[in-house]
Amino acid sequence: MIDKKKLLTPKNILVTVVLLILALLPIFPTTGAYAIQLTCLTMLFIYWASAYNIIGGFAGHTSLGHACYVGIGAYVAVMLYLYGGISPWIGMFIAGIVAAVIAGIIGYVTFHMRGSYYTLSSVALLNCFRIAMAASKEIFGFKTGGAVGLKISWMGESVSGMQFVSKVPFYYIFLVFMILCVLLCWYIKNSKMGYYLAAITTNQDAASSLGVNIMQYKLMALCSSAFLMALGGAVYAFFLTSIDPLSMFNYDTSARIMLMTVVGGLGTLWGPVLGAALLVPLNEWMRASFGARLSGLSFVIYGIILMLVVMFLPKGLVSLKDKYEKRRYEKQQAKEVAVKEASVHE
Amino acid sequence: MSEQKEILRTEHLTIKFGGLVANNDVNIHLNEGEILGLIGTNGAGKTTLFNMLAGALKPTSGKIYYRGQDITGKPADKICKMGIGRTYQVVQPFTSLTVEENVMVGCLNRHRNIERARKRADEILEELGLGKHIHTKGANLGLPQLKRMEIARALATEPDIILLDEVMAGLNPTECEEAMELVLNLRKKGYTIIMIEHIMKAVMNVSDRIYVLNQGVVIAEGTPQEVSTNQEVIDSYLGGAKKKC
Repeated sequence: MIDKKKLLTPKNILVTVVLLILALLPIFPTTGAYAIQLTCLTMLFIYWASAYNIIGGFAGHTSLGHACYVGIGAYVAVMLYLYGGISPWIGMFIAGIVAAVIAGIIGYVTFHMRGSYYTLSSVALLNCFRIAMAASKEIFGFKTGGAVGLKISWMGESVSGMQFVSKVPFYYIFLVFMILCVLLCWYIKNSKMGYYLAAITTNQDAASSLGVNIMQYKLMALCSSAFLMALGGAVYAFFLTSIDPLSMFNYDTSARIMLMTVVGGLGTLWGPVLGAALLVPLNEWMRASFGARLSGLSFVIYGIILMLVVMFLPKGLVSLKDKYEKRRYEKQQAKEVAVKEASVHE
Repeated sequence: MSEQKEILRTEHLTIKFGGLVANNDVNIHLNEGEILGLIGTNGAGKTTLFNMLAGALKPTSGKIYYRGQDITGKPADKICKMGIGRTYQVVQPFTSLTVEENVMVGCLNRHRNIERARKRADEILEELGLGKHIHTKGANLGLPQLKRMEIARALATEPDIILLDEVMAGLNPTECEEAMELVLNLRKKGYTIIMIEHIMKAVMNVSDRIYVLNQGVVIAEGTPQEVSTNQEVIDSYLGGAKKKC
């Protein structure tokens, strides 16, 4: 039985309206190519930030090299397409599995140790891949293009080859990806895995004495996160139509994904969504307005915003709601006390 | 007593931290349905013994048998699944989770379904008198409630044996009485219990048998009566403790 009142919360209405606007945006004749491009990027980063949140937030292991899995996804899918003729729709799942296996190996080694070893090795992994891909011209006899990268040559519009003249099909792919990823995060958060991960992040010893297999659940979180990152990376590669080691195994992208999650609210469902939805357009806008004259200024402003959020809202933007509710509750309490006192005086 | 079934036993259990021998050749056994007291001065190795039984520490040598099966060195989560639950001397709540969710983590061991786990957690909390607090965050709970929540969490994993590590420390006399009642109730429900306790009145009243540890070695074993008249125990432990009471 579905309770209608429960469905009509302000949050649900807001989400529905936003999704409707997003679904209809490309249909409006006034929507330009730039708006489509920007919304695509925003949705992609919401997807990535949500995927990152599974390991970074739910499981509490900061990764500073999460774009590594984006790169793996992109390269595997593109090479499968170029040399094996495998459709990216299938290739991206193979890419996801490859990324999950690599993540699993790194996780298995580093999760045995407490502390930030995973974080450190994530940076190392990213750099290893970038340098290796830039330095080597081929893998298993297949050309990777070295530092120049690979180009997906135009072979005509094709759904199976993920080649489209317009960016609108990609727009809808990213939209669906984003929705599915947020739904998956919601599912994980409210499942046994979500509770176990919450227990592990707050107190590992207590969790294991309650029957939680720490390694298993951390690996599940890391592998599913890496799988999703690679899936996004594969589509992103076909969206760009060319890939190279520097832009795929990118440290800035990794850091930005991590920061979006932190600014929005680490470990929450809507935090990464909110963080990416605000920071991607902001970043693009700053690059467009100051990029030419003061190329460093956008980074300075970006940095200041991050510092302000970390200082005043360490739990991210989503904690604003809690703060507001707490204040309202306190005001109400004060009012009740005042009324009681007034009645006593009478 | 002799016809009772043995459920847990240790053989020559020894653990060393560098040069320090925290437990030396500890041989204890536990019968089904029994309340076993574990006493001794601070640093006698009681909690270390618990940590080995619960899988948090691996013994340097010796064996632990649970229902005849060797469980030495098995990880904590496996031992929990086999039926040994524990509480911590220093309470270890999941501070960011509510009391209900804290207990649910334990329940999820036996119930895959979230709602069923939630229902079971609510039942356990109601039984332990924490019904009012189910939506309170672990961080905002007082010590007596936290100690109860620890027991609730251990119970949630549906153990056969519960290891209670100083559940009465830091409680006032009334709360102690309540805790004692709780322990006796647990036994009535069929749980087997090992408890570490410093409050003599509680251990002596509640336990069927007591082991006394001193500097990592078992120096005495027997009924509360036997132990409290043992000269070695009086010299090393009770003498000082009696004055305190």
